[in-house]
Amino acid sequence: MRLGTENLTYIYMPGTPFATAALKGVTIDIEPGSFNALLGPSGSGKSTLIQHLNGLLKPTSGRVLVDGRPLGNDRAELLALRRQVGLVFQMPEQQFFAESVFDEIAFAPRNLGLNEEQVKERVQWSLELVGLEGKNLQKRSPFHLSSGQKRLVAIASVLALQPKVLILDEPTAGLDPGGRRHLFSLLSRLNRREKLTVLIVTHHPEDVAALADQCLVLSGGRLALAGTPEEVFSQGEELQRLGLALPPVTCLMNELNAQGAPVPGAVFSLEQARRAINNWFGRGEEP
Amino acid sequence: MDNHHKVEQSPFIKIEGLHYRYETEGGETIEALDGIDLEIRQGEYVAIIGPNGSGKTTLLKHINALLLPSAGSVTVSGLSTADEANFPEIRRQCGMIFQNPDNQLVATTVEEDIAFGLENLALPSPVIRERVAEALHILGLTGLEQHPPHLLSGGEKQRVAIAGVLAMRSRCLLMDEPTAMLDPAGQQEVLAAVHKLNRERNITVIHVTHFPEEAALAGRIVVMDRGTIVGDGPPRQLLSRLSLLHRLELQGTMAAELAALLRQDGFALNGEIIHMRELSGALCALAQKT
Ligand SMILES: Nc1ncnc2c1ncn2[C@@H]1O[C@H](COP(=O)(O)OP(=O)(O)OP(=O)(O)O)[C@@H](O)[C@H]1O
Ligand SMILES: Nc1ncnc2c1ncn2[C@@H]1O[C@H](COP(=O)(O)OP(=O)(O)OP(=O)(O)O)[C@@H](O)[C@H]1O
Ligand SMILES: [Mg+2]
Ligand SMILES: [Mg+2]
Repeated sequence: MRLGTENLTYIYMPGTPFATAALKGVTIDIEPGSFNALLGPSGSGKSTLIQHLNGLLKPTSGRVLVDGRPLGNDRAELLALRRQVGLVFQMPEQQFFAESVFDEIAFAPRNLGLNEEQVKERVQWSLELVGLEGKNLQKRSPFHLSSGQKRLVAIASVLALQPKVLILDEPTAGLDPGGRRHLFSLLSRLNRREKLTVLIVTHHPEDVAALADQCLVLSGGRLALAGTPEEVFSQGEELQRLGLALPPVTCLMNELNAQGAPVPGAVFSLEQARRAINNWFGRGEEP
Repeated sequence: MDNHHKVEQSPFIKIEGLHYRYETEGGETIEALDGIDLEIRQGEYVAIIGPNGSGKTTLLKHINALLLPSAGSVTVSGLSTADEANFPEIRRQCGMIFQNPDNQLVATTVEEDIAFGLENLALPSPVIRERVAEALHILGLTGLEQHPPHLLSGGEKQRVAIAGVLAMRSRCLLMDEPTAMLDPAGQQEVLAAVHKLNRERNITVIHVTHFPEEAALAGRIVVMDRGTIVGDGPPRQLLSRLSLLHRLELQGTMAAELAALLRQDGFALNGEIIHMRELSGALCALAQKT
C-alpha cells in the first residue's frame, strides 16, 4: 500500500484567535515496503501529519493519497484504511482504554473477527515481538505500569492488528537502551521479511539513519528536507539551523575530518564508524 | 561538568532499607523496591539509570513523599516521610518534574503557572512577583510571561515546569526523564539550565534518564536493577564498565561503546573514554604516533 499527501494544509481551531496552521502545503510519498523517518523540531507538525495518514484528521486543504487515489469521507473506506495503517500514538495513555493489558492488545484482533483462541495466540505473539512475554503483565492495568512498559504495550497492541503500514510517533521515548535496540531490530526485520512499510517519528537520527530509505524533515509545518539519509545528513548546518542534531558518530567523523583524518562523512552507525576508523589506520581487512 | 565543590558531608537525603510493594486490583503484589540504601548530599548531581521497570520512578516518588515505604525509611533534610506533618516542607524542598510537563502545567499564562505553588504557600504578593521574575530570568523565559503554557514548545513547557519548582526555592530537583520528549535543541536548553542551577545555586539534582550521554554529565551515577542498586560511582568509572551495563542490556556512551569496539580491533586506547571529544583526541594522537 502506497501512502502520500499532496499539498496538505491543516489548521487547528480555524476561525478562532487560537488558529494554528500546523501543516502548510506538505507533499510526501511513502513507498510500499519502505522504511521512513520523520524528523523535525518540537511543534513542526509531525504528529499532525501522521494522523492524516490513517484518516484521524481531515485536511483543511490538499489531499491524502492511498494507492494514488484521494482518500474520501466514506466510513467504510476509513475503516478499511485503519485496518491496514496502524498508528502508535506519542503518549501511550492516549491510546489505552481497556482494563487489562490482555484486553488492550486483544482489541484489534477481536475487531478483525478472530475467535478467542486465535485472539489469545495473537496477543501472545505481539507480546513476544516487543519482548514482554516473560513479564506476566497480561492481567495488569495498562495504566499502572512503568513508562517503558506502557510504551511496549502500546506498540504490541498495534502490532496485533498486523497492519501493512506501521506508523510510530516517538516510540523510543521512555525505552531503555536494550528496549530501543530490540525495537529497531524488530522494525527492521518486519520491514525486510514481511514487507511492512514503516514510518517513524523520532528526535534521534542515530536510531534511523542506518535503516531508513527516506528521511523527511518538517520545519514550521513545511517539508524542509527529504531524501536518503546520506542526502539529508550531509546538510549538517541546515539541520543545526532547524534545531536538529546529526547522529553522534557522524559528528565524530566530521570532527576527525576537520583534524585532517581521511574518513568519510556519511557514517551513521557504530559499526560503520568502526570500519571507517579501521580503514583510516590501514586495517581495512579486519571486522 | 564535574562541579560538586560545595557538596556537604551530612546527607541531605537518607534512604535506609527501603522496600515498596504495589498491590494491584487483581490482588497481585509487585515488589518494586527491594532494599534500597542510598545517601545523597546537598549539591550533588546524581543520575539514576536502569532498565524499564527497575524501580526508578518508584524511588523518586518516595523522596518527596508521593509514595510511602512498605518497609524502611526515607529522610529528607532531617525530616522523615513517616510523619505526615513533614509532607509540606519535604515537598517544598524537593520539587518533582515529571516526564510529561502537560501533567503539571495548570494555569492560563506562564506567569500564573510559575506563581501557582507560591500562592499556595500564601506568600505576600511582592515576594511572589520577585521570585517569579527571578525564575523566569534564570530559565531564559523572560518575554513569555503572558503566553498560554499549552501553546508553548515542549522545551519551553519543560522549562516552565522547572521554573515553577525553582520559584518554590526547592533545594532539590527530582527529574523523571525530563528530556524524553524534547528535540535536540530543547534537550540542550533544559540540561544547561539544570546544570547551571546545580553549579551556581548548589541545588541537589536527581535525574532519571535512559540517555548515557546525559548520565555522563552527572557527578555520580546510580544504577538500578529489579528494585535494587547494583552500581554507584562517578560516570567515568561506571560508563566505561561496559560489562555491567551490557549485562543489564544498558549501554555506555557512544564514545565508550565505539572505543571498546576499536580496542577489540587492537587500537591502544586508554580505558576511560566516555566523551566523543576524548575519543577524537585519542584517535588523532594515535594517528600521529603511527
Ligand atoms: N490540539 C491542538 N490544538 C491547537 N493547536 C495544536 C494542537 N495540537 C498541536 N497544535 C499545534 O500545532 C503545531 C504542530 O503540532 P504537532 O503536535 O503536530 O507538532 P510535533 O512536530 O509533533 O511536535 P513534538 O515534537 O513536540 O511532538 C504546534 O504549533 C502545536 O502547538
Ligand atoms: N501504579 C502501579 N501499580 C502497580 N505496579 C506498578 C505501578 N507503577 C509501577 N509498577 C511496577 O513497579 C515496577 C517498577 O516501576 P517503575 O515505574 O518504578 O520503574 P522505572 O524504573 O521507572 O521504569 P521505566 O524506565 O519504564 O519508567 C514495575 O514492575 C512496574 O510494573
Ligand atoms: Mg508530536
Ligand atoms: Mg519510570
